Amino acid sequence: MNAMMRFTLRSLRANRVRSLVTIAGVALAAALLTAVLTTFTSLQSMLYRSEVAISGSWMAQVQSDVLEPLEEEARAALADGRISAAAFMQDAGFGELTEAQQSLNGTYLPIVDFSGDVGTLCALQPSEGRLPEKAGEILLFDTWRMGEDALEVGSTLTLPVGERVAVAAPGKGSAEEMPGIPADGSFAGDAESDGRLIADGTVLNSSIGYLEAELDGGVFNEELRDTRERTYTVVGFYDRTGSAMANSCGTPALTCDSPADETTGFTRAFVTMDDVSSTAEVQELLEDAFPGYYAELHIGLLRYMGVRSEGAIWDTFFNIAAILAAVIIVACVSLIYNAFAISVAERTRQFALLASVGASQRQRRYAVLVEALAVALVGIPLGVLVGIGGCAATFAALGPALTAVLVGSRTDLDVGFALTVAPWVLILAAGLTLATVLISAYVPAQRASRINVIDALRGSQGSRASEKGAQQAAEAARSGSPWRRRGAAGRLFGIGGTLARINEKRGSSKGGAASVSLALAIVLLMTAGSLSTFLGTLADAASAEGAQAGDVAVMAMLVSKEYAAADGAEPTPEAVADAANARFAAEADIFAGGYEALREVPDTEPLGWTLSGPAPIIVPEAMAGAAMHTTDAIQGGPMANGSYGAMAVITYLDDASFDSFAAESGLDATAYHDPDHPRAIGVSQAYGNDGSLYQLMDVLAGPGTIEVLTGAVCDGRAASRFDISYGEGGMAFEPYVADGTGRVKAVAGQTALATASLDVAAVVPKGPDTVGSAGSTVQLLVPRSLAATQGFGMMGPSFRAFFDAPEGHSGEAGQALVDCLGDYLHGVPDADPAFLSMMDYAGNRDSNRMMALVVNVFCLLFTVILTLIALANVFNTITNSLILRRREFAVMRSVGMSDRQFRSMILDECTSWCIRGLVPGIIVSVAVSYLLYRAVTASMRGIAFALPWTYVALAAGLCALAVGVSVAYGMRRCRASNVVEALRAE
Amino acid sequence: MTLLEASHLTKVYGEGAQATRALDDVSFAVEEGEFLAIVGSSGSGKSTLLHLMGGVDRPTSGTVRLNGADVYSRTDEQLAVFRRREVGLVYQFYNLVPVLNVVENLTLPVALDGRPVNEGRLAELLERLGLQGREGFLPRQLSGGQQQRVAIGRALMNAPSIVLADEPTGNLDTANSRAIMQLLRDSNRDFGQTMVVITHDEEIALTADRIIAIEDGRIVRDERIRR
Repeated sequence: MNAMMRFTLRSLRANRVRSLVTIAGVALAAALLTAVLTTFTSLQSMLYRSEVAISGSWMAQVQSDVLEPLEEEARAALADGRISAAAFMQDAGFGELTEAQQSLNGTYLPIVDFSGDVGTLCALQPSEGRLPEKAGEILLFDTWRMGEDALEVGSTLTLPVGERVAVAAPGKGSAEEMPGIPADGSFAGDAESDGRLIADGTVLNSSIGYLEAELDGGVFNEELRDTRERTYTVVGFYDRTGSAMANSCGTPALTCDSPADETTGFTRAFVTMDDVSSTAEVQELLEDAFPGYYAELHIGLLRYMGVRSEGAIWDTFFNIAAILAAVIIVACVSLIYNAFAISVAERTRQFALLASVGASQRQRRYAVLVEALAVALVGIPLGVLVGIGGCAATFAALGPALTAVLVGSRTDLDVGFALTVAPWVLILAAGLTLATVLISAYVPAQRASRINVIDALRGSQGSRASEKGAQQAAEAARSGSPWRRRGAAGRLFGIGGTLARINEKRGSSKGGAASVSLALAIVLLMTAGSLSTFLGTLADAASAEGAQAGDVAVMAMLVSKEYAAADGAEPTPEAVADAANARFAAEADIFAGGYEALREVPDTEPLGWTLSGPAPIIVPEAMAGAAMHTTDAIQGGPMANGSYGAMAVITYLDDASFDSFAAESGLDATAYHDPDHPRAIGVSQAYGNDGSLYQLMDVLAGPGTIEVLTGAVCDGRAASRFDISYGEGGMAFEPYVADGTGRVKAVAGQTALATASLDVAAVVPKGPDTVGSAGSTVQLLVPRSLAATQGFGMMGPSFRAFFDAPEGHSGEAGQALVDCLGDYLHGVPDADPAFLSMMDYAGNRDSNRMMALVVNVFCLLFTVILTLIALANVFNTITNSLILRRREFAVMRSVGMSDRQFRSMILDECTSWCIRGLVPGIIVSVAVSYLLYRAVTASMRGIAFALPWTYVALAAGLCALAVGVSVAYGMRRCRASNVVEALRAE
Repeated sequence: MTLLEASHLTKVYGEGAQATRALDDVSFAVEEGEFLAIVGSSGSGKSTLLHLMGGVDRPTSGTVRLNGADVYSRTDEQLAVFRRREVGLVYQFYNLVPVLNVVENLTLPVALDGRPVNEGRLAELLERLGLQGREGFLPRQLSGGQQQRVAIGRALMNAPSIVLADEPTGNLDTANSRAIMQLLRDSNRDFGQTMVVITHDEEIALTADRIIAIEDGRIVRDERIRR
């Protein structure tokens, strides 16, 4: 150990407090960097594990028309380590399904013969039973356990199995080929696919979707040929469909060891590799191991493995982490730099002394750098440990909530959010901190090496005047009378202000460090604020969905009846509307009965029910709100004839709820119950998109009478519903007509319409809680009793009933309610449910609360830590800039400066530091906020850029407080009692 | 006529075991127009005595009367005013304000008092101090001797009742020391300025009217020099 190093370590020990503060600063920097990076890797790890759990660990899949060569290539690649594992899935025919089976399970049952570790590679985990182990065994998707002919483990499944063949659609020439689609659908390597396009009679494999010319606009339909009966024993079910299980024409069933005549050749091989670092490398290995085959990468997985690739969400995470790391580094450079600068400034005489006994410039610089390294040596490991410990503690506390936020309700996946520490993180955090320390120490080291020995030892190095200051001083002398008042400050603060102005003009430091630290404090606080605001907005946006009354809702819809005109009669729009109204009245009665049944469900508190459906309305100009004047804000807009149209939602509220809502809104409820003059309460506001974000917009400007389209007949056929189309003149309503094949489509032709008038007697900004928002359209409220006479032609209205449930049991309560309504409807003739489900609002609220908790805790931690750094920095620089001038102040006091004059001088100086800190601070923080905003909106829409004003106020307040405390402390250190000491030559 | 009267001045720094008795029951008087030298070795208490005479520090016990008024019955705020009007201080290390030029440093006590600068006195002082042409210089642009002359000028600017100089030549070479002492002597003679100079240089002390010697916080010798 040489002399300089010993000197350094001695002085570190001698200035224990300052050394500890500096070490704490370094440790804080390392801890924060470790925490940010560890959060990043932990997140990555969790997403990786959930992707493995959902889709399997395969990194690439290779496709081939024939199994054997693919298997051979894989064996060779496994042997020499180019791939580390492989599993195969080979087409083994398509099962023909009955209509009932089709409604649950898709068009066909694609049968796949597997070999290899599909459990790990493709995440194929039976939810019940086991994987097939021998020929004739089959694993089915969960939907096979439902329906009329539900299967269970041990059942046998017998069905005709054949091959899919393309057939030219009627009226389309078979010669017409679909360009770009390989004929046998093999997707095999580029060279082989040349010229092999789907033609009439082409056999289709599982990579090709169901062909239906009518729907997909192509020229082919398809059919199943060469069907032969097969019988399988069901050995298990699975319930997760990861991307490996994706099949273009149904959810596959898995079997194994099928006889050769049952497999059809098309095979997918799923492979993994060791030690790959980029998608290009994966691609290269694939091309080497499987030359000429078509291959697909598992991008979702590779991304989370840290293998380089592109993706918006990932960029967002990465950008946020990078911006935070940059902000932390800037903050820490400033803090540590100040600590070293102050340490050097205080020891000026020591360094001069060293120089006077022969320490070279290099040696003096070295002394400061050694000090920095010594501090880093202690601070960095400490900080890394604290960072990991902090993360571990935070994740332990927030783990379940974080998991819920990140993988949603997939609680069946065992992929809890847990601390994941990667060695590169520790190295990067330590490296960045070390760089921070060295950068911070370099300037002070440079300064230490350049100290003027003579000045320092003579004690007159207190000279803080700048070069420009000398010129300015000379000019001031020429101007004649000294002490002419300088500017407003001179008048306001007297001689103190004048001295402050002179100091500001001629001083060399000009309180620069204080201003910089103030600017930084603003930037740090506003960065934390912006982050909280943007993330908070996201959390709010997510939780806004659940703004509903009650804990749980039951929703149902009945199968609607197509209009059937009396034999031979030509349908009229009025008849269509009357039929729909009659059906509506009947359904309203059914659901009224259903609600009565639901009231009896134990442990639930009924809150009311609604029946609502979409209705095309035409609104006169005087009633149209601002949002109706455009076509993109809501479902509607200006029509060609000068009126305004919208696909409104008409909501029938049970009479008790309607009357109490009317009373609450100051309206006369009795006026709304006249069946001959239907009246509605309009909701004037709706959620719409103004181009950048969803927000409340005005849809109804005031009361008035609107027209509702209740029925239509087009070319002699009854329309079953209306849709909106946008053309040149504006929006229009387009009737959809059943075409006899079960599909509905728009027809151009003669259309006759029936309408009903509805008097919107009053307009309120918001409907009752039980009704909630209707989305981006007009909502009209009418009493349930109106349903008996007027249904506005609405077909298949949806029923919603709202209930409170015991805390934590909303899910069970909801299920009980659904079961009850299901039983009730089963007992009612003509009431087949098309849809019956529940909404667990309380559960959603819980998970949203969880998410808000995670976001808030994260933001709070970040804010608190950054605030601490920022305020410590402000305190450090201000107190030290005052303490370093202690002697100067003592001189002024000894020649008669009063406390009042001293205070006004300091006050004036502080004011100008603050202004010089605040202005650039706010400019930079707006820029940083904007960068964060860009990072967040790169993957998520619907957030407007806004400055976090509460945080601006908080930042200003905290800075003022920090300045106040620092100045008070600094001044106390410079007080009169210390004058003598300060004046005494050191 | 007695200008300043110090009686039973005691100053203790620190507390308990660390307490240091810098001054121990010191009493003496200074006549108007007198040139007094206080001598003593390092740490004898002479600087403490000077600060107590100048209203910079407060004694642990005892009183100081200037022009018959008790200095330390004043509040801190009043003491500041007292210092700028009644006392001129000169230090070994000049103690000029680094950002103020020569004229501003000279006139700082006047400015702090909120009074207009007496241009005639300023010009006379600048001439006497040999600082003409250097009015706009900052302290760091001046030599040590020049800086000390500015400090003396600052002490004289308000024509205080008493000028207190603490080792004013301690940081200067022989030639500059002589010149500074001559300046103090001349001010004493020409303006009748009462002057107290602390020094450990016997030769300088001998230029005074009277010498008080202090050892370990006590006056050990008080003699008048006859010329």
